[in-house]
Amino acid sequence: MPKRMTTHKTKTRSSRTPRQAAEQSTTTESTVSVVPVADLDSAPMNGNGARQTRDSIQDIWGPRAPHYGMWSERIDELTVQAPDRWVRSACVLCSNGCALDIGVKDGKIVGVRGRGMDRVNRGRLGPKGLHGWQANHSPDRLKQPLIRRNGGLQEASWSEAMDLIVEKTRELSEKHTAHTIGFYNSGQLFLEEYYTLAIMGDAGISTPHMDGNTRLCTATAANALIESFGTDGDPGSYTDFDVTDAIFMIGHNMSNTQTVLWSRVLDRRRGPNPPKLIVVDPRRTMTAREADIHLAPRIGTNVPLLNGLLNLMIRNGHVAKAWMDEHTVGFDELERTSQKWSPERVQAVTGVPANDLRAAAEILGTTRSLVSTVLQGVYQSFQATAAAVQVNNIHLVRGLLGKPGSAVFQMNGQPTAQNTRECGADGELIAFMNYQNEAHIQKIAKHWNVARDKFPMKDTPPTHALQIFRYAEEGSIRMLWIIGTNPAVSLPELARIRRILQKEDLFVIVQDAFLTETGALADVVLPAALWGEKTGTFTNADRTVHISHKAIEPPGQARSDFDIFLDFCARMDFRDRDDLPLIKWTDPEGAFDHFKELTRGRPCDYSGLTYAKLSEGSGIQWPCNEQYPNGKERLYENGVFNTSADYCETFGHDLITGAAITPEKYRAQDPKGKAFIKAADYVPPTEMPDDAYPMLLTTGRLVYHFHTRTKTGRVPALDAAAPEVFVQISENDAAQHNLADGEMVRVETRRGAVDAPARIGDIEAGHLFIPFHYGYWDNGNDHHRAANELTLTEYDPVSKQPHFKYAAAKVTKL
Amino acid sequence: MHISTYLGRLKSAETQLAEAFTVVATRHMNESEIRERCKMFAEWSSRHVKELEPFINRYGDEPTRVGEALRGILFSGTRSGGLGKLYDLQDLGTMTNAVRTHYTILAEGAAAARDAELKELCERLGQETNRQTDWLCTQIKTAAGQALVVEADKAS
Repeated sequence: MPKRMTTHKTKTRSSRTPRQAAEQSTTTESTVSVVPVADLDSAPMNGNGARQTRDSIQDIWGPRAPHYGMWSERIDELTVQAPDRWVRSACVLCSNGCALDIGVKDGKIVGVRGRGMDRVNRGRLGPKGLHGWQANHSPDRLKQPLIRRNGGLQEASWSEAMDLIVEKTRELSEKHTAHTIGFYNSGQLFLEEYYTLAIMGDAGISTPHMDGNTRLCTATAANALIESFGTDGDPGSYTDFDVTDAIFMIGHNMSNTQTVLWSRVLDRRRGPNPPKLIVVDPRRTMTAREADIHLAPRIGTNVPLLNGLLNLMIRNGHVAKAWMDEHTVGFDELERTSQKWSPERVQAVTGVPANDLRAAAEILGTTRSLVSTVLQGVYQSFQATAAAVQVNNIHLVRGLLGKPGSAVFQMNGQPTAQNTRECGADGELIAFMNYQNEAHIQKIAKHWNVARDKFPMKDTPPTHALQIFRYAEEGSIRMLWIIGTNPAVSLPELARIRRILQKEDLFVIVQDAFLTETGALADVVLPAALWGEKTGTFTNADRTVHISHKAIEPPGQARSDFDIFLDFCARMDFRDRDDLPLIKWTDPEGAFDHFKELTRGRPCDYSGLTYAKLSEGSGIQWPCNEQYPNGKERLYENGVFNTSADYCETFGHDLITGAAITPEKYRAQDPKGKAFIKAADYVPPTEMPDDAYPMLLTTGRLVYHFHTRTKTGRVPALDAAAPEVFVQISENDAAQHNLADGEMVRVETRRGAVDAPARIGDIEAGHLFIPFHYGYWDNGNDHHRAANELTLTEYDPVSKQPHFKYAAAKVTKL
Repeated sequence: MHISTYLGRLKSAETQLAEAFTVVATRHMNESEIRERCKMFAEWSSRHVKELEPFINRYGDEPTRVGEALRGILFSGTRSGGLGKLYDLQDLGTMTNAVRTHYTILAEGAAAARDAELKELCERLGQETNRQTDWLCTQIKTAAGQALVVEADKAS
């Protein structure tokens, strides 16, 4: 656990460099800076001009800069040598996408420095941002393709590897159709790579099996936005945090998941007119400790809790009836459903005390402005989309959207995840268009110059990740191309995933920068470039687009994913309807320019952006077009949403069953720009604790690690900060099992077992928590470490996002 | 008065539907969504039977095997792989449609008999049956392409 940050009330002056002092003095218009004495180390680390402006491992969120309105600049930097040059980029290790410059010397990355002018971070960086780059130079980097021969992975040339893939693709397509080929990509690619992959999959190979690991983190966010507002697209802006009167965070441990944004929240909380903070989390996290009200519902009870809050808001008359009449449909059903959830019933089902619920509802009902954030505690839980939509409803019943300080953030886990959604490399159609809208499909077919029937003909979305793996399990998918992700550690029920990946009749390609647990099971491994080794753009959770320029060459024969896709398309000789090459671009900028034309007039309008524009300034939000040449701060300012039948992204779903609403039914009651208020009642989770497995297990993130630690596990400072898995258990349960802190326990579910040391405290009785990052590439292949050995293969009916956050479990002392 | 006839037919049809959903859930344990949703729908149909009980007490019912007969005609033949999954979903759809028609008929009869309570029940349960059918349609559309163009080597 990180040392708790100490704050000193007196202003202190430690030994700062003149540059730091100068920076400090330019921020006086807004702040009194409070600097922990022991933590500011500005002395050079050695004689090479190395700099570390702060120790982000010990002090995750840095010194406080209290504010209201404009957030101050603070340039965070960590370099191990003085760079020769700085290259413009942004971080990819959480969905903030903090702007930074990469320091380069002698062809190597020597560090990073935040960019002060940027709207997202104002120069700040978190521990992963400051340290993560070190993984680029790990000796473990894949430098050469590998092909499985005689049972082992052997080095091969690019030609050999690509020829084999092409041969396999052609063989399967001809004998069994392209429906035997599936792609499982990553949230870590750039926009240009997603766009190339989308056309490669849709119009080149023409397979419906395309999804990314964004299914595991972001699918519910997208679906919730679509269900309520008609299309994807987070309506708010990070600047809303700077002026809001209240913040509501549900299932979102922001102190761990987006440290720089949390710094922004803390700076508001220490400033004048601080916002009230309500946090919903079954664990007493650092985020929960900061809250004015911490609601800790039983795992699986988000929907009753939210219905309870909405019920109180309605009963108390705190809803904006006139605004709702003009801008929404569906309130009556919400009133009927939420009415069933009195504070007493909420307490009985969720464990949240009725008076706490009342206090929270009073804030939500009376605050002048409100920012809500939602993340995996909702998205990976039972009834994910239904619950996420209720958070939208809190804003819709009060009319708190589209104005400064009022926004709902359906958050992402990665900054690049937003781009899979916009480019159609996951379950969404490109530019938030609609699979069931013929005009939209025609527009794409025309832009790509392909025949309409080359494009997937059916009016259903592409196959989602867990279904792709199910098809592989049953043998109807026979080739799986896995790009930049590690399903052997990050998917649920890992024993099953390993079985599937090892099937004789499944040809597995793994494209990655390191040999992961998944790569070890592959038939072909392609060495890929990392961030910093390729140019491209990506978009964060408040629609801010950044460009990341190539700073160094990838090691050995590693290539960017972009180049690998272009190579494959060339070898497959994909053509358009005029028999010209399908891919019309040869570099990332060409892909960007081609993509942005499709976004013209869509919510995610990139048409006003260019590489030049992104390179000269810093982050710019979409929509960026003629009307908004510098990007638009907020969506839905006029209360008109994207729900018109000809514009919307889907026609919506039954939140409980997942059944799709038909186009006919939707058009018969076209809301024509009104938002949907969609109600949902409680459905208890299917795997409840019983005598055999009496506890509830949940999983989640640690601040120092990203996904399965492929990169962060190879960064010494990050690895040292969180080297090992643990099981978090309550004092009550520890006492019952006669457990002391640090003693080894075995946690078992119906799927598997994990052995780990116990960490006692800060969690409700009856619950367990295990961080999901710890695979087995670095512990001699011992599987009893990965949290997903224990999780179940079950997912949300609408978003298809897996239920990582609950499983019935038992614990025994080892 | 043939209200009791239709109450009897509905009881039979919903009971058989609940069992059919349960069997399909068990047959497709590795299809997470089918397993979970069919289990849930089995509970819905069982609950429907309970909700009909007060009206069966009021009007009586005429026990009938119409549900068994329909189920017996459906769900036959070997059911493996993607095609087997489609057949199961399609046959469930035939049964949910039959149940829905029963509710429509009974609702009309209740209105004619001036039984507002029974009419309201039929409308509400009929809507839930629609939701079962809607889900089956969505699943069928999603699964059909793959099932028809690719041969899975074996059912697993």
